[in-house]
Amino acid sequence: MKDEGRVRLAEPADAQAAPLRYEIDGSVGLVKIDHAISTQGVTFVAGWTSDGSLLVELASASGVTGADLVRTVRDDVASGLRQPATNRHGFVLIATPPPDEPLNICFGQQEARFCLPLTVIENFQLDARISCAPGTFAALSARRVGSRDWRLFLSLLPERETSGLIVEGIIDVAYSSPVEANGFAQGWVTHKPDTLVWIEDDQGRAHDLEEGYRWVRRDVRSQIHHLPGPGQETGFHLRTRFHPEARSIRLAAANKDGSQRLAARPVSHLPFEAKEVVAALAEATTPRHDLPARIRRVDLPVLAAARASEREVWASAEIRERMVGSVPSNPTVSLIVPLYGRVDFIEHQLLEFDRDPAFIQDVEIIYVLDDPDLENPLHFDAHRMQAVSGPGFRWVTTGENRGFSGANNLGASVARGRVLCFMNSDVFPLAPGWAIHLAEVLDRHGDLGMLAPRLIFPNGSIQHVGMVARWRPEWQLFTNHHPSMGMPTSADPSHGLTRVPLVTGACVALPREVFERIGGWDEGYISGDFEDSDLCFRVRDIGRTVGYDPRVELLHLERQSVELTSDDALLKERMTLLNACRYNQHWHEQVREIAE
Amino acid sequence: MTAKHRILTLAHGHPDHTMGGAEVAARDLFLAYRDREDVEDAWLLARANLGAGPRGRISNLRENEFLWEQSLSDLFFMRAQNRHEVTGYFTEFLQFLRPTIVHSHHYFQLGLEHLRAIKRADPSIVTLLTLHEYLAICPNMGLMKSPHGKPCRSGRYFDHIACNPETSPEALWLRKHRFERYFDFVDLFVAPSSFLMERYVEWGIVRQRIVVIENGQPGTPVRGREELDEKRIRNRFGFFGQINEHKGLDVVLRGLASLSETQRQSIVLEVNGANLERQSRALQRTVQELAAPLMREGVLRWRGPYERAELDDRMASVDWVIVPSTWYENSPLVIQEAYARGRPVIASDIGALREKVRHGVWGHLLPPGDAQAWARHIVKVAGDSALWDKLAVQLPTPPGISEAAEACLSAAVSAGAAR
Repeated sequence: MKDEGRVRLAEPADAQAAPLRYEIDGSVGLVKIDHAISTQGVTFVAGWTSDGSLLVELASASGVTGADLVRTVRDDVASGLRQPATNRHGFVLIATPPPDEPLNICFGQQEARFCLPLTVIENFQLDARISCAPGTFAALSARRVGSRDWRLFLSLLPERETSGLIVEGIIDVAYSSPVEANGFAQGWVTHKPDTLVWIEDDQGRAHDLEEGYRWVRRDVRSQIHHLPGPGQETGFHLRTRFHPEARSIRLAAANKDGSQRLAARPVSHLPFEAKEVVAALAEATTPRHDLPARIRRVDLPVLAAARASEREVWASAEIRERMVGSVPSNPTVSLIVPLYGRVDFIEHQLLEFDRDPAFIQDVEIIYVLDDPDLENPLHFDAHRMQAVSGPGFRWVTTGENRGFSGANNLGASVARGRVLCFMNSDVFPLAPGWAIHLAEVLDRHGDLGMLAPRLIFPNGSIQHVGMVARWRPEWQLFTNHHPSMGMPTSADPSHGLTRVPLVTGACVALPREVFERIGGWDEGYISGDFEDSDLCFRVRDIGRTVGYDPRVELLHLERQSVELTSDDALLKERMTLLNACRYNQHWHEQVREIAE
Repeated sequence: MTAKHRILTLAHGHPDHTMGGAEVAARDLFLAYRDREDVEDAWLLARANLGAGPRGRISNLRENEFLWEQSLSDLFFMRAQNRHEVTGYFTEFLQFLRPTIVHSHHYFQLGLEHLRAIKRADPSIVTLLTLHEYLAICPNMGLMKSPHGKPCRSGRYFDHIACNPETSPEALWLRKHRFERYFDFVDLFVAPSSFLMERYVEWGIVRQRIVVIENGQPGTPVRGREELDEKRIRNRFGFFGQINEHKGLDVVLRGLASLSETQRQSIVLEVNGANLERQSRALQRTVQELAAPLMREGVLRWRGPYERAELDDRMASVDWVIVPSTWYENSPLVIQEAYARGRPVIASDIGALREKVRHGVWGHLLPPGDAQAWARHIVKVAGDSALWDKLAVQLPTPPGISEAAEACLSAAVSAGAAR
């Protein structure tokens, strides 16, 4: 036996041929190297030691190479040594040593060790892969899913057929944009413990399922028995950034035993318009009570990316402008009214504007057609409606549906007044003078950044006397609340100009200078709600106040208010919830302040 | 010296094309205006369908009478189908005629928009609108009934929301809004009955802007007074006008059918009715099934529709005129026509009929829809010729068409002065 001080080794000292007997300070043990192989610059050494706590290192001429050591359970070794199987006899070393230098493998303890020259072969047999798999998996797990190194280690793992089941699952819904890296996937997956599960496209991009929103799918739990995981969060809803050319995606998993890929499925094209993306996202069902968590994690990033590309297109769209009748040449107020869904409200509004002399010189009317389906009818009906009912107006469109914010901003971009008044098409004045009154109040009170009138329902009851933030504990979100809605106007505590936290966007006036400073309406909201309270916070952010003036009263039909608690109108509800989450994320501190 | 009036009368139909009470009243009034000394010129513009669709064209029918090819695209909102020509041909027509007064007899088939177009063409024109119905108030064809037949007596908007649960309150508001804004261009409303006027006041027309002027009777009617001295049994009853589910003919027939054959042998009912063939199959069947046995017994005489020239004869052959309507009516011409011809009227005790028939003086009022009550009453008065004699001499003299024209014109002049 060769003696090296505290260490004695049996002859020949070759642990690669057969188990090598050693003695350190009189205690005897065995070491064995099963495989020493190298591929693509990575060296793997797999083997076992009778003492599971024995130090194992790789060293080259330039010193110890930083290697990952993974200790594994080796049932075969344990039974041969008559030791408990829980001892981790196995090891896998993984290192990227400098090329073309001879390698040694060292065993021992801190101060007493022995090193053996290592013969590394460039041959990666399946049995070698299997032996190295625990180490490969450890190395894989330590790397970002989808990264270059991750893919390298993945390629070194033995690929299992379904017989050695690691994972089972289905992708229920999958959308991916054909023009950019954006999309989402939903499904369920169940797997063995200590397993990494991901979803990958046919172009080599992959996403760790843990990035996604996960939940317990009770339907899966009741159907799948052969894989463990009571309480396992089998459901996943995941934002993806697959390659735009990806045509199919699949679930895949890896653990210390290898990797497994499930069958690929085609991926649907993510719609271009964010509004359509909302509908696509709604196909992915997750527990209703926990929607905000999912929305923040998945839906909002998907929508933000979609809306960003949509806005790039908007920026270069041609604005078509039509003149109907004659319009004021030098207006003070620009009235901006988005049209969506129907255009017949125009006649009712014009009949009211017709009674107001301000509309001859001082107020210009800009209708923004935000509904491509209605361009034809409006084109033909605009002149007829105007001729029989009231003052001239302009209407503009880009042939797109931009949503409330986008349409309002489009209208503002062609407006000429120094006061911008945004109004819904189902708001109708009840008496002349209202628009000029709003402009005058804004002029008189320099602190005001925006001003809204009182709105009433057809039955004379309150629709809007300012808004407040209301905490919705079921969603853990603040939403907009209309105090005194439905009450007689005598319930309105305000009698003159009042500073309020928030006002509605159904009818609101801003000095153009303020509007431009705050950057207009936030087009990140898809449509429907919270654009107005967002605008209020932008105004407050630059140190201006929000005003409400009950001396101006208009009628608001408001066909349907969106109730977060209603079970129908799922999509509308989803849209509102998406906007609510976005709004709460954006203005978290500020909303809390005004709520208190 | 004041300038003479130039009056354009507008109607939703011309009697040459469509025969109805309001069409006739409008044309009669036009003729009466034309005959006046203080009228320089008068015209009638009546909506017509000449088979080419609502082209919006205006054509000359005969001297001073014109037709307008117009229609409605939306009955609920009373929206003209050819809105283009409201400010096109129609406005050119006004500019050509230069009327000082425009008296509209309807907006049905014409659309509400023409009311504004008149004022836009020339704000000095005094505009009158005769309300022949409750269309503005009641979205259910102005019947003042819910779609399920429940009567809505009030003119108040909220009551009609309750009456029409299938229509959204927002749509009803929009409808009312349209009517109100276009009605803003009317200087004076003319109501042929107080009942109708009160409903419109409830609805929102201020009292100062609406007057009651009864439709006038043209020409000198054959009063039939010569028969008054004739002592005979007054057992002949006449129904005149449209037959539909709101006119109550089926009520009376049901009542007669419930009588014993001997009881009904004492009376004769003459039905001078029109348009049954346009009604629902159910109503046609009901009326036909009830009428057939009565006709076989000689109790019922089915005389069918009549031309205006035949009215004197048709009325002369009956003693009493019945108006068994189950809706409020406004001012049925037939009542004035009956009075002008010395015929007492038995009418339903409902709506405008209450003021048109003074109970026990000009005739009788009976519970609407009560078949038994109608049958009993008809048999009772048939045997009482003294009652008939008493009523016949008390009948009012209905206003002539020239009186109506006088009333309208002086109201228009005051309305113009009050502006």
